[in-house]
Amino acid sequence: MATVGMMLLRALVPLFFIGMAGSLVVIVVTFVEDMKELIEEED
Amino acid sequence: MASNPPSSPLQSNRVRLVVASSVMLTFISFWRAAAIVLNDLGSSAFYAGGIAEEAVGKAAPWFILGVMLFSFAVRAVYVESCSMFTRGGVYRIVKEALGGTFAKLSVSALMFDYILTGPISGVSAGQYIVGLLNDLAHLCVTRYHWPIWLAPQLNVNYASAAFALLITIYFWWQNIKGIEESSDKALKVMQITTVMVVLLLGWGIFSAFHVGAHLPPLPVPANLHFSQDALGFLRHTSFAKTLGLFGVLMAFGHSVLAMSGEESLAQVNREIEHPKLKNLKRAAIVIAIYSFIFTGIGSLLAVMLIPDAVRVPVYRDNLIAGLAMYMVGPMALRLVFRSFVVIVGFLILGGAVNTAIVGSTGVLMRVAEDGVLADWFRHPQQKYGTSHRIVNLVVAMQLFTIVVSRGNVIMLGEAYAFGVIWSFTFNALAMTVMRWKYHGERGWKVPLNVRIGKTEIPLGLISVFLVLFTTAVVNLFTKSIATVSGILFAIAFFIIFSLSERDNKRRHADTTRQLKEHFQLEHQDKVGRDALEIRPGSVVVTMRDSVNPFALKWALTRTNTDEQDLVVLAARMMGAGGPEYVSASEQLFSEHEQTLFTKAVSVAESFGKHISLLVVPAGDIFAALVQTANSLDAAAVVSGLSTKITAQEQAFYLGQAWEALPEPKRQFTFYVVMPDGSNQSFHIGPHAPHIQPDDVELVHRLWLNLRLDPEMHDLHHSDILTYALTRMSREFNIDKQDVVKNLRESLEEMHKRRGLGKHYDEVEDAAIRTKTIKH
Repeated sequence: MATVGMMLLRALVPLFFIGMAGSLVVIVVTFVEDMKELIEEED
Repeated sequence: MASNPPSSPLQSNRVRLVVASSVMLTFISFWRAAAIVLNDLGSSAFYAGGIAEEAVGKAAPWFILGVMLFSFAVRAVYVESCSMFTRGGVYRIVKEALGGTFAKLSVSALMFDYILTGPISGVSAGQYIVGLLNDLAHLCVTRYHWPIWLAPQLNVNYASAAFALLITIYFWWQNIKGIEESSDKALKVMQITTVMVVLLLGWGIFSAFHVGAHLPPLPVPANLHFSQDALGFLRHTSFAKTLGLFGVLMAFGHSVLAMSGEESLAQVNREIEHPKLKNLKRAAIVIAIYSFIFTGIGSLLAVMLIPDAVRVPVYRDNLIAGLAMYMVGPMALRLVFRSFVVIVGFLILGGAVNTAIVGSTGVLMRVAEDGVLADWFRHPQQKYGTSHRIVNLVVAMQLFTIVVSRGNVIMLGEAYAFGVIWSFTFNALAMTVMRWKYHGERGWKVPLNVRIGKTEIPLGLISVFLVLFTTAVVNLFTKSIATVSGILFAIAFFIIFSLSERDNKRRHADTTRQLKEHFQLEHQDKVGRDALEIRPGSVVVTMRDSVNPFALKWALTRTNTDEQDLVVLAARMMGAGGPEYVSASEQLFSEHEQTLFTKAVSVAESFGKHISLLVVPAGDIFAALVQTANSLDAAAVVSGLSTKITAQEQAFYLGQAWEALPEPKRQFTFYVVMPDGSNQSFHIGPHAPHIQPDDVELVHRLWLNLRLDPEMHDLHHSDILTYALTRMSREFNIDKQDVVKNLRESLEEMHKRRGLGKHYDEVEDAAIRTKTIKH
């Protein structure tokens, strides 16, 4: 039981790094988009 | 007054009770919104670095930086949720996506986060103050040979806990009295914090180059050294010996508290001015960049500059103070800067204690308004009208937490992360589900969406959810204190919410039935004369206390309701983070409100007069009053004397709210009624001044003299006033201070000249004017 639990915990590692890779794309895209919003002139 | 009302309000025996859905709010710029959120989010910079390093070792700053970078993605999730619902916080989103049970669970996790924000901020502020006092005492003993009894060393944890208790009790009392939340204060705190951050980073980077400091070890498994506590339930397992990349995930989980406070973005969203989404995104990016620089780079510099021998043993709980002490430069200058750090820390962490009380009260008010918390909690405090029972509950839990922790920041920090990570996880999960479930307006989407056929896969949202979910699960195993205390807390709150909801369903059904029996209940989007069927020039009376409605009695005595309509206004204060719009199905009336309406009607009946009842949800009472008066085209507003501020201050704040109203707007008279029946009246908005006989005489004499000039035969009295005012206005534009000084001297002279026995019809006006100028 404990071994299965430990294996499941190990399985979280690839999920975490996949999530991190996707989040990085979100960060880059939204950063560029929001910086434009921040510095652009008022309508 | 018009003699024919649109339709007679006396047609029905039941009194018309109109309930508005749009909440009356005042709006703030994105800078102010960012300042409010940063008061919460930025405060974690003072303790997150020390807590993370204690858990994972010297590589901790990289994880703090990683968490702050990841907070950019979490902000994107909050922006999407706020673009769907103005109050896009955890409770609302999770309820929409996953239903009431998950909403109650997520709000329990959020409450755990908010409740712990107070103790950890208060204790941390105490650690900075006591740390400085102890170092100064040590300096006095060693360098200036003071006797030890004169400069004793305090027990840091106990003294910090005592400080946290004091500051929590102080803010408890402020919240019981109902302090006015001001974005001004938040902005000022962030301005002074920014000065400190610029000095800290500038001086810190210079010092790092000067001493040739090395970056912390890279965040790879070989460089992670977990404390026994940081291994949690894995401590005695073989798993702990071969962590590998799993250790990176664990270390990230131990650093996640650095981004606590993101939820405040959803809380403040409803008050952001137009264009809301654009300004929300601007506020969010400012917040993310600021906290990345302050918390992330600040933690990095601390490890680079403070020697290993003292960093964790001495400065773990006041890391930024330690950083100030290890800059290059004279000791006196470093001590001065450290004192500045302590003052800023006190301001921002003290503010966070208040934010924690206001935030958790706001969340509980929100669930109470939704019928998920017993009505008993919504009962207003008799004297101050605040939600005192909710405030008491929140503060009692915070005081208990401080006492149990005995000032141990590490223990508080470990528990704190539970609420932070789980409320984010629920939010991200709910937002992912909403991509399929919600088909309403969505102003913006988290990017990285891939379309396969007709189905859109939100890869960006799923990615953020995966990081949060895996971190939350790992934290369950590695943060034993957080897991045990967090689960117990969440279960306790979940049970309270579930039982309250069941009881409330029955009670609210009874209340609504009774209301419908006695009142002609109507829900309207916005307040207007048509909805209430009243004529222009009505009298609006505020009512909060059903025990002694002296303002209503005063107004009824002086109003002939056959000629002038009288509207009794009950404002439902929505609390911090409340919604912008409350639909009819969400307007649940408490027993207190029912008692209030019944009392108003019985008082009116005792006078033999008719009244209309109006309920408006409000974020700010003064904004609600002027907005209602304006939309009803009211001639007068009557209020009882506030228990917190003077009649003049009431009028001043009302005048400020009136000035903020868009055109067209109508002037009205504001009456403040004292409990003894006397009153003070104030004209709100521009109005013809009452001119003293002496001044009329002066104008007349000037007119006579000027008329002697042959070119001035067409001169009128009003031309003299126009000229004098235009000239004063021009002078005011050139030298404001000089005009104010001269005016003040003139006022003093006038008061002396008039002496006793003269009437000062405009004395209140003068008070308001002077205050406006000072302001």
